[in-house]
Amino acid sequence: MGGINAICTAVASYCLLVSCYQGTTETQQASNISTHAHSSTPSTEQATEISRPNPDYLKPGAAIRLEHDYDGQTAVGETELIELSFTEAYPQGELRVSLMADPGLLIEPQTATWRFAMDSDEPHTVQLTAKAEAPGKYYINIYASAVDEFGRPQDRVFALAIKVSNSVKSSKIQARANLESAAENLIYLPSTETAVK
Amino acid sequence: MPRRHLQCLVVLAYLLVSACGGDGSENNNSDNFDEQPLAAVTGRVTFDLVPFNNSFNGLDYNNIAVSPARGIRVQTVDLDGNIIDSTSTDNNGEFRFKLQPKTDLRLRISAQMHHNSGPKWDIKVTDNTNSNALYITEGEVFTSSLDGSVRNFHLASGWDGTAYSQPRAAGPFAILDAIYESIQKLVAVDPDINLPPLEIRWSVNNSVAEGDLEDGDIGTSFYSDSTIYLVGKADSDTDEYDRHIVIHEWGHYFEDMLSRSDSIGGLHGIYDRLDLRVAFSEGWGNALSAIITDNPIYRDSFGAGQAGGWWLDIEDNRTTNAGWFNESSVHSILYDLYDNHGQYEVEVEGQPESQIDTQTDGQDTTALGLGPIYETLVSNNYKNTNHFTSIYSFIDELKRQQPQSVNVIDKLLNEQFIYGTGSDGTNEINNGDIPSVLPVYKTAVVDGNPVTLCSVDNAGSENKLGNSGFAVFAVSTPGAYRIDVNRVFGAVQSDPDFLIYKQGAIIHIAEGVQNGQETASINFTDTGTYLINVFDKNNIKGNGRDVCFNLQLSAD
Repeated sequence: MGGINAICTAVASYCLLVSCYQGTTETQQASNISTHAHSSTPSTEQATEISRPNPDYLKPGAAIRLEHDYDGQTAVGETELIELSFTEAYPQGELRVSLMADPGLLIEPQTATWRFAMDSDEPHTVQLTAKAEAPGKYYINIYASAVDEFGRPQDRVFALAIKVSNSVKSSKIQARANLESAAENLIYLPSTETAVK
Repeated sequence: MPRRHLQCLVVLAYLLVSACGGDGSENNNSDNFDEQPLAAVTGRVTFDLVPFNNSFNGLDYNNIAVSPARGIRVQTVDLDGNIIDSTSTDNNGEFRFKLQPKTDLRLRISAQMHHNSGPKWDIKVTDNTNSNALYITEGEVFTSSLDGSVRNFHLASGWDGTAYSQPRAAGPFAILDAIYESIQKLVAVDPDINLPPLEIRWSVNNSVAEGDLEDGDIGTSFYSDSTIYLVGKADSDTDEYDRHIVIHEWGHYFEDMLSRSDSIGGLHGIYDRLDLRVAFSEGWGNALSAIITDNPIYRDSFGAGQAGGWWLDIEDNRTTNAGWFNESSVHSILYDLYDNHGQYEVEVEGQPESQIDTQTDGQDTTALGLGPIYETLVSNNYKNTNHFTSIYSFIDELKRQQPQSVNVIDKLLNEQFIYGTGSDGTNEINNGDIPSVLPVYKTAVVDGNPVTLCSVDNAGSENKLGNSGFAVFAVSTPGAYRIDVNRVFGAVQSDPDFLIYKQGAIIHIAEGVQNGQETASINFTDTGTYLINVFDKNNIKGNGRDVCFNLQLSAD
């Protein structure tokens, strides 16, 4: 190897080592939740840091809550009567609700938009029926829009999973174990590969 | 220059660039140093990026853009499945390997971004409905050659013109693209940023139904514990192309990992009167999405064919219920601090471009950029504030770091009816029509008079303004102290609970079930400033009522 080449290789090696330095990974500690109930004469407890599960930080949307009375199971061919109950704290405006079911799930009424004045503290309710002739997991998509007094909408989409007969999983692309690492599963996506040369 | 020297410099330059994936990422192939001629394997990875339609809020499948998959992990894999080498695509989606010639291999593209020199990050997209499997694609087996091999990959949206009839392979890469853009903007202000690992769980099965995460019934897109969940169920709600939402949730990850958030999370809307901790966190997420994209129109697509949606203008300073408790007040302030728009255009749906209205941007006469916002959020002063993280604690530190901008910052605050100062909002006069919320923090004194804290549901429940009452108290001497919370007026049936915090960390939870009272005796080993958060549990659960309690602190 000529001198210039040797220097060249040495410089390259050094630069590679420096530029590809791998840092360490930080680890996090977690501890158990601790809660305490007290009588009127409580025992003294240490003031030590308590770890709670992180809250869920949700994406923005209308501040509307949905409750329902669906019990989670429906037989094939059974007509299920379901009541949806919407609560909100908007002082004025209109709440609009519409529904759309997955194919194979028949809901009544099929096409309707419910409109509720939001100046009441009372829940807004929608009654519907749902029925499927084949087992499976179907969704009723519930589109709720809170339109304020200025006509500005805020939306939130809900869904109710209707499990008919024996619940079945949604169709999936099957994951398979990574050949070299049992710890990591892989899910294969299709792609178009073009070999230029 | 002699030809031999020139060749050497070319090789040296190439090694320096290619060994770190072209962008300082990774490459494990020590064979590159061999004297033997090597076989080049190059290529480009692209994916379908589905944009929003300009005339309505849904996705626009007629204008899908073939976009480079930037910063994505690419690996060479031998016939036994062993990884030969790894690299990352560059800003153009291109990758390059140098391998031994006559090697049988295939290429693997993973929905993963990894960078371990200089700025560091480690992000992957997995399927929570499939054992958290990592999304990948692989090519056909080929043999490396000294003539070089060029192999390009494209991941399609799966949209056939009317529906998703094919696998939605582009989804994970669209999500990563939004994160890549976010990271690049932060690297520009902090070249040594070190982002802890993040997993993004997305699936075409992820619905807005409440249920089991592994079944895909995730409720909505959200961040929690180093993980972002994103919805993906077609014809209902999909977020993989909703760039602002991906970045909004990444903003929560950023707060959690590099800054501090005391937010209690939960449902929130832009005109809601929120708990101040929630208002700041959500306003930050909204503002960040506009800052990263340099597009203040935040959009969320949903509905049949992803043709519906809603939007909000982060730039718009006009809001309902403006104040320190409103996320839209927070996001308009943060975005105005960032942007350089003394004026902005108001684009109305369907309106011809010639009629776009130009508005003066209120009191926005500043353009600090992202740097000062970032420096404030990661500062020790902000992270160790004695009060909750809020617009007050943020502004207090920002003013300390940017004293020349105090006047313009105050104008932005006042435009949103925010008047309190310091990290505790001293002298705030905007009560959001709920008198009990002021002062923001009452002051309790050991062995002093009782302090009245109320829990009301005027603005809603769970995480809204007035659900909790806050007090600050000082422990000057270590020892045992008794804390009594007793109903003083309001609803006869109540369930008061309280939490005690020190610099954002919970150090005691008292959540007994006695009617109208809660008590604890706590041994404080550290002196300093503490916060107490008192609430009626009914106002958290949604069975709202208005009730006030007396808080009494006494040496035990």
